[in-house]
Amino acid sequence: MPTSDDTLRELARQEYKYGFVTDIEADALPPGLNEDIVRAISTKKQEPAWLLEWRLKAYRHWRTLAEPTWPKVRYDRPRFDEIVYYSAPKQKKLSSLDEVDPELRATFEKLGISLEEQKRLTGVAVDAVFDSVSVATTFKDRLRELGIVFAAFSEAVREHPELVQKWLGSVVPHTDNFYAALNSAVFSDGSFCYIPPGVRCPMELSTYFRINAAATGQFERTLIVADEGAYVSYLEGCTAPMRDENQLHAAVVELVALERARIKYATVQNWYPGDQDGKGGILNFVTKRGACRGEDSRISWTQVETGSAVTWKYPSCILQGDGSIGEFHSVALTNHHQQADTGTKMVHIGKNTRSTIVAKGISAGRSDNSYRGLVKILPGAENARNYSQCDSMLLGEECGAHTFPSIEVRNPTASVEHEASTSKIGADQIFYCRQRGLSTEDAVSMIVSGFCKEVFRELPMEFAVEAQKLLSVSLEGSVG
Amino acid sequence: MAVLEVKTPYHERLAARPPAGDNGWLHRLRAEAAAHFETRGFPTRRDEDWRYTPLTALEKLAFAPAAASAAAAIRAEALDPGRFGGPDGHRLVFVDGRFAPALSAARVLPGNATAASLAAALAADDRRIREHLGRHAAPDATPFVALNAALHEDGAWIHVPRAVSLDAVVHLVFVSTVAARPTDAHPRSLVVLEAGARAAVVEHHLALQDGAYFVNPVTEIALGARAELAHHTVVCQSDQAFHVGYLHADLARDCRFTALSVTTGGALVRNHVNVELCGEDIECALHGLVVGSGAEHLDNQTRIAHRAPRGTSRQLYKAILDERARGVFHGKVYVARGAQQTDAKQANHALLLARAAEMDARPELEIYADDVKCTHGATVGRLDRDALFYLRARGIGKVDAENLLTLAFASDVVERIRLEEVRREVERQLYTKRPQARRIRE
Repeated sequence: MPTSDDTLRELARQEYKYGFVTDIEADALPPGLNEDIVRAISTKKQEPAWLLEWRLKAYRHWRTLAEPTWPKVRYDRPRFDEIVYYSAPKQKKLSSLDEVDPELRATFEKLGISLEEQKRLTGVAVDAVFDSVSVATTFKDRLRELGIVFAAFSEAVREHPELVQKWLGSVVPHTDNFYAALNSAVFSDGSFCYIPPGVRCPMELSTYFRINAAATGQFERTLIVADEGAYVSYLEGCTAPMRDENQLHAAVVELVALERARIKYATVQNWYPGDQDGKGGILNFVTKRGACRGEDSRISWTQVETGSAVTWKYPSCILQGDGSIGEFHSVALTNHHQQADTGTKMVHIGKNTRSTIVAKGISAGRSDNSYRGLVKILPGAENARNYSQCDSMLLGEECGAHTFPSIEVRNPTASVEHEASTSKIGADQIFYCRQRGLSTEDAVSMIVSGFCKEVFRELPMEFAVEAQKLLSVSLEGSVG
Repeated sequence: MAVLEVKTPYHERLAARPPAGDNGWLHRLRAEAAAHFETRGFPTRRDEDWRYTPLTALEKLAFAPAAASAAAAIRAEALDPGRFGGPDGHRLVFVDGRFAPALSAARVLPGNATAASLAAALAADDRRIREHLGRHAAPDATPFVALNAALHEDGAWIHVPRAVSLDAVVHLVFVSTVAARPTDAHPRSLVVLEAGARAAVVEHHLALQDGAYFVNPVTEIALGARAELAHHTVVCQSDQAFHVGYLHADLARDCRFTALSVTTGGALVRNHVNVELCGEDIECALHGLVVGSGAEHLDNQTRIAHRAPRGTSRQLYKAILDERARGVFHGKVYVARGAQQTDAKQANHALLLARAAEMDARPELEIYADDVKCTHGATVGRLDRDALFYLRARGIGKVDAENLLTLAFASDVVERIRLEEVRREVERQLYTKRPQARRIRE
């Protein structure tokens, strides 16, 4: 029988399955950042003047900001003057999927994200973002019939400027924080989605992001607007090739839910976490926020975070409309030298607003895994309700698991509950499973997936399978 | 970035010559602490640990030391001795941070134990003080600790030798006088229990008059192996007063330590409790209750560091907030690598009784050992509507029903006060604070 030391060592040796670099010629700007680079990005993307102005405003504001130091993570500060802020695969203007670079297509196949497969079998419309420019978009016609706009950001700027201008920066303003300001200045592309009133989006929308070209920061911008009574479920999945240098990824996601609208946003993040010694890996500094603007609107965030060297991410909900609901379900697994500082913010502004937070953290190797959250009840939030639960599990003696929740209540009719616990997998639990003929590995995998069940339940089918697989791969041979 | 030269309002006092009788080592401690304070100044809201406790009102006032003559004006009757251990109690009274022998009542303690003025012991250059003073509460722990370390004049010095058990409770009573210019006091106490010793200490911080003043007490506690200490703090300052207290305890193996605080008054009160579980098999309990009304700002900060295996810690903090009162709780449980089989529980519950009341809570866990049981829970809410309805349906008036439930909410903490005389004192203050509640008792 393997001892827990053996199995932990094995766990710590897990290789990154998705580590490969696709060799495609990239059209890139010189490294560094100044107003000219911002202008050049805007020109390359043939943007209207208002958007350039907005980028410049963001850039000037960014110059005045300092990088945040409060997250519980350590890393070498990115050298912003050495980053390439724009890089696009050279071929453009594809009329069909057949024109997509075969190498890129092969990459997606390796990841198990065949566009054809997706298109034909699963009914998932895929907007594949390869580095910074969308190279393929599917199922557009069907969505167009319903009046749904689902397009690459740059395309949406050209075709629906009024929608983009109205909502861009309305949830995450360009002044929001250091990385949001940077993103606002240099974002290259991303996805835009608008669901008109009363429309229920018939399929799960999804985007696969990949970071390619060495030393290219990835600055995605996603904006989803669900008009009155609309419904959309959005999936975001990520894998990235192996790199020695840290790569910066600073995305911004904005969600707007108007009256009775509902947005479900799910993420599986499995970017390159660095090697066993903590070398390389993605720096993932993301600002995600949803605004429940209308009455009875609802936004739910579900995330499974297993990748990135350093993660700094707090998908939040602004519960403005009366009776609106915010949800956050998260599984964060860290291994080797990974560091995750993730959680959520629930800001209750409207009456009868409700929020639920379920966060599960699993730490292994020498990693640090922190939950950081804020539940804020403003004076007008009559009868607001919040329930938060943060559970941590430690696998090994050299990792850390932390919880930093903040609760601010300014209305006496509110009811806020927060619970947190930290534990390990009990020897008796393993013993019980082994007695019944399960291997130690299977037992651990089973116990961990039981630990995360509440979160997986929230994932759409496609993701639930991928997430389960991801966890069991990460946990192969581990014993608590 | 250029280092800004901070000119604190304390600049002149910190630069002044130390009080007569300071020894070389003490002088160095003071100078080091003064330098800390001068470079940091008071914390600002940008300081993560002070986000919920703005100090603008405190900084606006320029405090001065109280005149030594002020103590003479206090009559013994003002400090009803019945409240502090009765006629036979061991009671040390400090006025504006200075020992007032005329108001105190010192008894002979068993086994050569000491409970006396720290300044007197310092003047005698007691070797035991040199071993402990400033060794537990580091001068850079907070700017307030630094200020205290630089400016303290007196406080209590409690020493209980090996295996000695003090049956009587030692009462420390700290009061402030009110003068035209707001006064400040920086009492410093040191409590040392040698191996196997037992004691109970109560710190009372009381208002004698209305008015603005600032009290900045620091208490350092060192417990030897198997020692047992029950420490209680009762803070009832005037509604214009500022009180920032800091208690640090270093515990050796097999200790039993309790720190319980009840805060019922002050414009701004912040109690820090910082406990280090340095040995194995320690049991530690921290409990607190705040009862706020008016525009009071009552803040509890706890930090428990489990540094050795098999430590147990329990925390229960409750807040009752009425009118515009604001409560803050920030509690951290830290489990160091190797502190296996730690069992830590923390609970924080707040009751908001009025529209403008506010509660901010940050229960934190920071854990580096895998075989541990650590949990925390925090709730904020109002009185249970169903419970109120139940009582009213049985003919109990609205006000009485509300007070009954509020007292029941507080009783979890009050019942944890083992010392009968302290519990009576706390109940007395609860009723003063919530006069209608007295009827429930009667």
